[in-house]
Amino acid sequence: MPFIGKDWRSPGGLWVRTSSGWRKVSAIRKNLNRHIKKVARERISKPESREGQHQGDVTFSKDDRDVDNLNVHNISKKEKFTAFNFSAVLLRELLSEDFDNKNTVRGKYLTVGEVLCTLDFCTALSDPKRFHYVCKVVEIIIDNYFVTLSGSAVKYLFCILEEAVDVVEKSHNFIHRILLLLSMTKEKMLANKTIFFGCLALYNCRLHLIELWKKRLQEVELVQRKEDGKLTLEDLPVECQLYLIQCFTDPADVIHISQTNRHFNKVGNDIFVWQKLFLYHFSYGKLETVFKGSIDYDNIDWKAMFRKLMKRYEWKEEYASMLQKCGRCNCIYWQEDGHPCCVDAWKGTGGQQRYQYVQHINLSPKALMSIIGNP
Amino acid sequence: MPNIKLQSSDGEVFDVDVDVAKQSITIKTMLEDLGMDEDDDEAIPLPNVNSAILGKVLEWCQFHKDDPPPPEDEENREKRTDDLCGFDIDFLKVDQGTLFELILAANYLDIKGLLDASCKTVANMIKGKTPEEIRKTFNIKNDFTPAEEEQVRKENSWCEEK
Amino acid sequence: MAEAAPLDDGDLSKKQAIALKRIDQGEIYKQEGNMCYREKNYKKAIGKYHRALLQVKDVDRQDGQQMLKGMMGGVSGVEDRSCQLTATMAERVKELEMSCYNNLAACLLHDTNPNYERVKEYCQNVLKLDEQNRKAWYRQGVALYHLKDYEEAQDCLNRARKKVPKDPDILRYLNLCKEALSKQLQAEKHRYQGMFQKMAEGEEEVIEMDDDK
Repeated sequence: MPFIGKDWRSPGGLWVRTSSGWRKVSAIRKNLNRHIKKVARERISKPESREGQHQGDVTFSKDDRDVDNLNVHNISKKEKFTAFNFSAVLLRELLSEDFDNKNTVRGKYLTVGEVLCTLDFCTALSDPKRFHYVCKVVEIIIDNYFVTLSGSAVKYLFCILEEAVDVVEKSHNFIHRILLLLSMTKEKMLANKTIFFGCLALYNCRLHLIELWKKRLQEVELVQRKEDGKLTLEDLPVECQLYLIQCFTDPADVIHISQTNRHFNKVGNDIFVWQKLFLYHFSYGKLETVFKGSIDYDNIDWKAMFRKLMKRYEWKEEYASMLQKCGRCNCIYWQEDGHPCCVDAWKGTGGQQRYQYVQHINLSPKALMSIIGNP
Repeated sequence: MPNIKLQSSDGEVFDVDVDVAKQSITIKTMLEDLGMDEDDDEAIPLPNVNSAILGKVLEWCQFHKDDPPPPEDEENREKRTDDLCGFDIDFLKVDQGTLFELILAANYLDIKGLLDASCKTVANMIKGKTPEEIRKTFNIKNDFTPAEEEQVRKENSWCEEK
Repeated sequence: MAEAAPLDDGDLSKKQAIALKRIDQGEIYKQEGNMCYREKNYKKAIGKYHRALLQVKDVDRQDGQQMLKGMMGGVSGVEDRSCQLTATMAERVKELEMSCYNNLAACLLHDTNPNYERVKEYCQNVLKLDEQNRKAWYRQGVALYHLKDYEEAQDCLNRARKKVPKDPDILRYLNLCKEALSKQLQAEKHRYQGMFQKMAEGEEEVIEMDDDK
């Protein structure tokens, strides 16, 4: 048994003297990290800089071997790489082919925790296109992998949750979604208390944090629409209201608006709305599993059908922006950001025939977890 | 490209590039019927749209004038509401009254892209909220009797148990 | 539906007054359009009719109600709050839309290279409002004839003829349709014959090939 001192958890903590006295180096690093996160967020929220990255992507790949041209695009290339560090990870599979003979890239072994840390879900949350995707991934992780997460992964998970709380607190949308995530986390923590080892104080602190965040979200005061004499939701023509309701993919949303008052109850129970919702998630073929014999398509109670089939079949999920996996280098990256890979450049020029058919695979949250999620 | 004149309900005349105005199917149809050479200088009155809203609508049309036309197919309409482009998100950060007027104007002028974007914005405000929260957000008066409300709630309670 | 109309009286009449003004203005545009039409200035007339339509579009919301076939209470029951037209006003709007679309179809047919799809569309708009409109049936028939949908065209023209059995124009187009249909039939026969022949030949070839083996 080695000697265990008082502070065995953080052996060799470095201290430096600053203008305000002695400080721990790790604390300074933490602050620095926070700053970097902020900078990254700002950059992503600015569309111009992202365009710049795209240009960088193209020039970089095309001029892969052209050293003379490389200098011209030096800056954009560098930018690309920093952004890239945030958003792409390599899969654990070893690459079967060498390209260029010297650039053999080996994938890293990945755990769920590493994915959490590397893919920078925090910044992705502030992008409305990625928000739901991240929520779903986090939900799956909490639900299935919570106990397998390493200490640093849990730390990142809490970073993501905190960011999510910040985002919805600002936008006032999707508060219940995050509240649900928080409750789930708490449940998991309480249920697995005996499995956790490590600092009890930290454990309690995290429970406390969740409670704090929950309270913050519960206290968010929705802006009450005032009677300003301007148009209201009810003033819109019925065809517009129907159009609006058809945007919903979750039957709960349709039902919630139909529970607000008599008018919306009629609009929200419109047969076409439910027919479309049904056909969005399920196909006509699924109807046959309920009806025996011929189906009278004119007199189907689509809402009742939905209720019948909702538990039997999987619902359709769509996201504006998804993670993709490159068929060539097994890199995982955000759709819009791309990744440094030879395939795209070669596809354009048609130079390398063998990469013409390399597919980039869209990863649904479930697919993502099935790739990386087997610990 | 030639210009056409559009007149808002309160009398203001907007001189608009034909390419911009053509995003409105209503105006596009009219121009096509006229053989695209509207030589007539008289403004086209749009009595359903006031100048503030018409100005905003035209700003939107100007930005999106090079977009590909939206798919005609009503059946396969995308239900995603989180795919708004950055311009639309900022453009639609307006008070509710203006937002609804934009929906009305887009419907009147038949501008599908704008109708889509503005409806999605409202949909995002509704999604994931409870009925009570929706009422509050949009100032909807609850005219159910308690018995009716209870009945509606019971009938629909299945949606909560996923 | 007293409970669904919370607008106070003052507001209501004010909105109605605006609607009334728009209908008046629409009718003025239509008159101007008719004048242009008589002067054979069709382009200008089209502009006027479209302006008239823009005046009355969306003053009422009848369409929205038709879209609703809700399960609670069926078709009736949904009251659209933005619909405040009196019966006479609604009637005037309907009249105006009908004659504008009908006249637009007429104007378009005067074009050197008419847009028959559009003519068809406008005629359908009229017929949606009034199924008995003789002129609309006739014009739709003409448009369909030019779009080469002869059977539908014949159907439309026959409906038009029911009202005025001896209209020379209708009879002329009916004859044209008949001719075109018989020609089409001939051509089809010919084509199928050719096809069968080819198929027969093809079979022979196959047989020959088998023989080669």
